[in-house]
Amino acid sequence: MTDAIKVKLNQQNNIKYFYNTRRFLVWTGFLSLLSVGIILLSIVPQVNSTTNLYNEMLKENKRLAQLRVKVAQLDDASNSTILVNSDKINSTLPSKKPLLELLSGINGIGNKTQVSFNDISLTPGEISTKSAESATTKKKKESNVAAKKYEVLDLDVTVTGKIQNINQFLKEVEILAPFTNVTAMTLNEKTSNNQDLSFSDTVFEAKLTITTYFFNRAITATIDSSLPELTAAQQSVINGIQNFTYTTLEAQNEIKGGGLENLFPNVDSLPNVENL
Amino acid sequence: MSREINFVQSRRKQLTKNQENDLKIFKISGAVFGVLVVVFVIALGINFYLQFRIKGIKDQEKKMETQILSNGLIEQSILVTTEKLKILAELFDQRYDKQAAIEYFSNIFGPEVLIKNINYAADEKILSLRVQATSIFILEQVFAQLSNPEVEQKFGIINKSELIRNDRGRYSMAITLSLDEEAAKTTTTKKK
Repeated sequence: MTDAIKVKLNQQNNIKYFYNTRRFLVWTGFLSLLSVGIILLSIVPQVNSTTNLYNEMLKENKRLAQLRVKVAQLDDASNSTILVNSDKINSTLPSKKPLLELLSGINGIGNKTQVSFNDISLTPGEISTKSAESATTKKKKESNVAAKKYEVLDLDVTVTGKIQNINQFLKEVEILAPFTNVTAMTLNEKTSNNQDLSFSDTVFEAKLTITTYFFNRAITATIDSSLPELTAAQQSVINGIQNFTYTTLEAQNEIKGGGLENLFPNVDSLPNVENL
Repeated sequence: MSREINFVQSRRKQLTKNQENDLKIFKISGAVFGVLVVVFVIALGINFYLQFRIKGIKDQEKKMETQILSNGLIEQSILVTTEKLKILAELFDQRYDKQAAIEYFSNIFGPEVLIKNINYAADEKILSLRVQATSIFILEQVFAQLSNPEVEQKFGIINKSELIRNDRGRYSMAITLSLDEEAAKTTTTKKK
């Protein structure tokens, strides 16, 4: 037997001897290693995962409560002050350019207050459509200027009448739907200079700039955000618009003939697509 | 009689003592291991329970979301209308200031004074008026009214300019004032 083999056998005998005499110590070491392994590889990740799941559950519970509130709010929404008055609010601040409504409204007020119109001119401004209501916010102008909450339409009107009538006209215009504001006014006497009349008897020409407003803003909302509550200022607006004058214009959904000449009198019918 | 001498007795004693200690430590480590296994099982159980709960909550959320989406048009209408109300409240507020100021001046000046021009810059809350008085005496009254502390308290310093007399002996003058309460307060304080 070589020395190396002898040494190896000796070592094996030592190990066997140690195991036979101190086997519990060996098992204790094994269990300790296993315990450390369980702690590091199972318990710590499991506790972390449990903590994360618990936090997630709290978050989801909160979200569920918000969704419940929103469902309840939507169930009661049909009776809410906002929806009940939505037609008036939408007429007061329409989502499209209220040119026809404004013209119709001031014409009615002019007749009512007995002022005559000399001139009407307007600045058309930008185009606005109903689709602007639900458009995404990203599409807004990427300028440094903050997006305006509303758009305006300016109308220059010149009316003639006595001061009382013009005053009444101004008052009535400011309770017209769509919401209008007289932003500029110039009064000039129309009565000839040789007549020395009091203000109440003088005929005036009033050049007015009437500004009307319309809504042109994108609204975004998350599914779990609760519905907005009505504030005191908003309730006061609702009360205020009850006395407004609303114009009812028939919606035109088709092109109505204006008695135009038929440009193709000899054509009985248009050719079929297949024959083209 | 031969006497037996046990040469390994002390060694055996030491070994037995060590083995007893080893057994004790083994029992303790076994207990610790057992506790750790129990902790692991409990954590696993809690994990499964939480996952089950979260799944239940998410299922409920989905039902709620479906309900909310089915009422999407109502929600859209409420949101848009509320936003419009917010804007209207702001516009009413701006216009109310202008209306109140014109009404106030009409009342204090009386029927002999005509407000000829009105210019209102809503963003800056600056109101410019041109008033016309039927005579110089009425104009003096207008000056007195504009210098009244109550008026200054309300609107701050009122800027008077462009005094004109027309060929019919009527006097007109431009007055500019700020309807911004903060600005009005500042100008009043500066004057003091």
